[in-house]
Amino acid sequence: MADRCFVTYEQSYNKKEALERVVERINEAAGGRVPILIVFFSSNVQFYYHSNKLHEIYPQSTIIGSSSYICLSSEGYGPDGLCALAVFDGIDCVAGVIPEVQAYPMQYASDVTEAAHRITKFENTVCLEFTTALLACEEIVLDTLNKGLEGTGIPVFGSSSGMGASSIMTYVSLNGQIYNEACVFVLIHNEMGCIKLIRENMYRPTIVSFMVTDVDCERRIIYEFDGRNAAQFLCEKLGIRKDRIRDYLAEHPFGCMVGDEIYNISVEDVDPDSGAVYCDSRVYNRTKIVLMEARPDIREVWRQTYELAMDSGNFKPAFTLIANCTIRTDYLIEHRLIDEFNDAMTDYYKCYVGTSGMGEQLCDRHLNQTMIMALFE
Amino acid sequence: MKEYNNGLIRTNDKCIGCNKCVSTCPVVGANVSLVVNGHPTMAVSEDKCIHCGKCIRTCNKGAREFIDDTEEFFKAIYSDMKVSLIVDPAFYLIYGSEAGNILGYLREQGVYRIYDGGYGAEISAYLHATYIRNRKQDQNTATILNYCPAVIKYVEDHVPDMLDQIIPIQSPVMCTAIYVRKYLKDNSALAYLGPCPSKKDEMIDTGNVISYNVCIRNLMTKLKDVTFEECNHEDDLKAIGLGALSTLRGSFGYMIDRLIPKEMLSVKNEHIDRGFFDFIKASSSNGGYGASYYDLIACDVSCLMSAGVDIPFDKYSDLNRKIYDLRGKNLDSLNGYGTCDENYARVEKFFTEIDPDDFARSYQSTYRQMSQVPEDTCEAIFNSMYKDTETKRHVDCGSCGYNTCREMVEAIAYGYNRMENCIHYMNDELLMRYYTDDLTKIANVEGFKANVTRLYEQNPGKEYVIGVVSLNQLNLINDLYGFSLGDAYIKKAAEIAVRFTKDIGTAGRLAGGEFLICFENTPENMDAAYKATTYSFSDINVSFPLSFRAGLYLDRFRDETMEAMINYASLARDKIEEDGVSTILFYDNELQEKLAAEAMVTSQMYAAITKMEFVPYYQPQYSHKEQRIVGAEILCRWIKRDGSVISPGLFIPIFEKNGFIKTLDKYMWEQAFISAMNYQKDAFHRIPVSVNISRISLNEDDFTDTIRTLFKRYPIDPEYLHFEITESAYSSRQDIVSRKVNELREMGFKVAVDDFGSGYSSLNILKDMPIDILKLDMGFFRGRNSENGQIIIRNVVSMVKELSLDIISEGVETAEQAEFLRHVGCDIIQGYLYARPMPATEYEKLIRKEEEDMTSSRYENEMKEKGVFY
Repeated sequence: MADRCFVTYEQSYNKKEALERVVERINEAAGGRVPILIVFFSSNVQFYYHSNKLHEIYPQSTIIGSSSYICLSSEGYGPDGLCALAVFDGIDCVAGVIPEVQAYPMQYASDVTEAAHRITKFENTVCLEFTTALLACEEIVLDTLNKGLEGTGIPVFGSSSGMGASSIMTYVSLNGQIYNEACVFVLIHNEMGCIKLIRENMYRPTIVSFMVTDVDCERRIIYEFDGRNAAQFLCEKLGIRKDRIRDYLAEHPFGCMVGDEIYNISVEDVDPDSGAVYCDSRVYNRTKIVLMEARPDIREVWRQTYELAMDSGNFKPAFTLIANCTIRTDYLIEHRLIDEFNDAMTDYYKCYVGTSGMGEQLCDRHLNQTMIMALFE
Repeated sequence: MKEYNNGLIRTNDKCIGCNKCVSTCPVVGANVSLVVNGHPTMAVSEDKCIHCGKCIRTCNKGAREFIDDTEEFFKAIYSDMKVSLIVDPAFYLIYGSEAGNILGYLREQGVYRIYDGGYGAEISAYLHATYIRNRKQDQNTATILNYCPAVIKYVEDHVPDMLDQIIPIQSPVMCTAIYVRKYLKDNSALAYLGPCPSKKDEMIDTGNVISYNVCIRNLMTKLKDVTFEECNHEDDLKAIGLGALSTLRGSFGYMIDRLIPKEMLSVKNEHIDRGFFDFIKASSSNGGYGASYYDLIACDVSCLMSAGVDIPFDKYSDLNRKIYDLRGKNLDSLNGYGTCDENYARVEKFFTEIDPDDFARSYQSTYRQMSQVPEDTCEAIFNSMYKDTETKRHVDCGSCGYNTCREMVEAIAYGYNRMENCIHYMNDELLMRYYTDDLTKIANVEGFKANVTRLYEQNPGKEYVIGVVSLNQLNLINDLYGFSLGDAYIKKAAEIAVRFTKDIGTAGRLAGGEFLICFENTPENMDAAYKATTYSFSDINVSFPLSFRAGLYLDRFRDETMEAMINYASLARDKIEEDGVSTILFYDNELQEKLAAEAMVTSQMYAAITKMEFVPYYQPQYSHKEQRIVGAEILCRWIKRDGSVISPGLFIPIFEKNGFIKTLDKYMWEQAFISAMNYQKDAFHRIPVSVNISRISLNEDDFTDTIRTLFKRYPIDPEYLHFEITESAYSSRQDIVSRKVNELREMGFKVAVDDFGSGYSSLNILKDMPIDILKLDMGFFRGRNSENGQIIIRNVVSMVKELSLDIISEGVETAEQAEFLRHVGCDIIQGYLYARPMPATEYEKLIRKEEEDMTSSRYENEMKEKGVFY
């Protein structure tokens, strides 16, 4: 029996060549079947081309994609080329777009609801979404999706789109249509079993913790911790100079403490003059923050995630989607761990495909510096 | 901090941070609670403010003000710029006949032309009516007349769903401006004189057809010293109908009402507040609110109550009456009392030359969706405000300015407000602070007492233990690692205390590293308490294990006050020496008696000095060889006035603990100097005395100075006074002790090591310390191996002799001991065998007798030698 899904990656600066090879392999794997769903990732430069061409080639398939910092897959990884997951059997999917994500996505919540009611079943269904990044809109997109999915129990899983270092814009795509200010989503019902969502945090809390006491939520700017100028407070607390604070916080994300859980938030920038700390996720006033540090035993972290995902061997994923934050990817590259990471992911999850973007969305949370996984049984 | 107060409406220094502006403001987040330089204030967020100016009217402190273009307007006319003025009908209504004089003055100052804004109101009303007459009616759709710029801004900024509900016709003022610009060909810069600060937004949104927004309040303030009587004026354009009254609430709708069939219009006059549009939307989707068109204004009563005018309420009611009279008169003119079709036809004919497209307006959404505050964030804020029950979360008193507690919590999450603005939180916080320890966040003493009281009430049949627990090594941690780690240690200890008492009692912090615990007296709990030995604090980077000492009081009968029980436990704790081991001591009767005696001693010691109850006693030292007294040790006895004696075994340890020993030492030294001086004068008594120096006195910096002072005061031959220093004093700070001993010796005094052999003696003392005499304690004789003791004494004596030191055996009680000592060569002996310590008089008597005996013995011997026999 032919496999129900197929992952392929072609790293090539030549977009045409990359597309041809990917399509050739998909077709070979399809054995005459038409993919129900294609999830693809590519660099900003090639994104427009791949989006259009894939839709031209597979007009009957639901094709959803996102620009990515690097493409990750069980068939290799890299910053260029095209990476795709094609699913031929065992799923039902309904897709949609939420435009105007920066201003008023909520007006499209009813479109999400409508899409949800077109899916076969709410159970074993996930809402996979990709949202254009750099617009500080992920939280309101999540509000919209969750509002639209209210009462269905369908969780949201997705990523802010990514980009290469020299780019200034990110893209998402649905069925050949490209957007630079939108969220594209596809509700995927797994007819073959359940869908498991996992969050992996490779950072651990330090003893340094504090509370946000002045914040501009909408602009994701923190002005004060514990009633004091944010940057100054951090410098004093950490015993470092102001000119070092940016670098320090790049390696030490904020951990937003919610009950027993800690959610990572990246610091995008620090203005040493005003003391303002610019974050990549929304932080609310009175939020308890703990400073995080990378765990030294990263291989153990991967193993623990695997154990959790596999549930002592009781769970066998057919394919896995991951969203791995750009900063996390950079960490792996800088520490020469990226090869090992991709090998471990391939060993553990076999058929996997992933994006590296500017943030991760899981249920009602927009996260940073995190890896999230959706494993389809 | 984000920038605030940089828009049209601003907060000044008069703000006291009350919540009035919040409660009156239609927009959540426009007022932001801040603490600036320690003072609470409510700043205005320009991102959110719709410039309605309601807060200016509401604030009775005058803490809100607005910005307009009055100064720029005057600058323009004084710089010979051609400026024409559109005057809002409100100005004519407020100033009546004086209006002409004021406007005449402005014309004299250089205003080019003056137009009555009521004229534009008539155009706007006509075009609104046209729009309504031509529009397909939908009774379920609310429609908003474009009249109030703050309402328009509110919709654009906050209710984008309703943007297409606003009739796309320019407002009365803008219609006037467009009319004079296009149809009267007036190309001068336009200024608008009116009541409304928010008109500026409309001016900007419509391409700055009008350049200056001059508010009536600011204009009249500027012209307060001007006399207008001489100035006369005629408007260059005058309203001819109801336009003159359009400023009144509902009048604009009323004007339209005259022009369209009744079934097409059902105008509802409202002022906006928070949630109003939700109400309209909800009512629209539920079949309507009974109104098809809304004549909405931001101000509560009318534009005459806007922030840009300053009319007191009482004057307003007079004004209102006048205005309604005027309405009747004006109805006779253009609009008239005809049917709506007749009226409309008449107005249409009048405005036949105007092109409606010139007066069309579009609206732009500036809305940005707010993210919903996550439930867990609200939950956390609710909890930190002590709102931990549904009842507490629905107080909804509104004193914070928000309608509900939930709104307030969301405002806090967004950073618009502070918890301190909730009066209920502050009340609870005060209570909590009263009951909670600031550092550890567990109960403080008061909180502990309250918790114990509650525990007792809930468990009347149970028996509880009250404890005071002190952390060992806290000072060491503070010294080694700093106070912040010391605080971390205390916090961790608090966690342990809370964990230990969880489900079995309660815990609190007393002070410093001291904690209070209360737990049920059960074998299991006591077992757990005794099993608690040391704790690892490696997670806060303290490398060694830490321990505690706990005093416990078992409250069997509940007949003691809480204070007393804590005191008992504290006293028991105080009896434990700090070391590296966790120790628990119960407060019991024996301890109670001991403590009572201690209390008595402590309370009477100062008085005892003045009453001279401390009396020097002399214990003689005998020489075997010479068969006579060769010295005496002065010992302190406390003999009270009533003759009762307090044992030195009781008071000396207490004095050592409370430091009074230093005072007593000085007193006894002086007594010793006096004795030595007296005996030195007396030929019979030229025998040295020795006096003790306690370890504590020896450690005092001024110790040798004190001796030196006494020596000066009592210039004795130092040969007659020896000092005894206990062996244990040598065990620490040897260099310092050695220096001080040397200083004594340099003064000529002999120094003895006292009690050698009573503790864990070190031969190093003999090697290193500068001493003259060794006082050998009979401790070597005690115990099971007295043979071994004898061997040691023999060798010590031999060693001491080789070191050329004098040796005195003290504590000799038996003849066997004395014989042994004599045999091994220790000649001088002090002990009960020979004499107990005795008062000075007895001692002197004893010496005198001994002298006499010796004299007669010498005489007998001489007689014997001379052959004389008795």
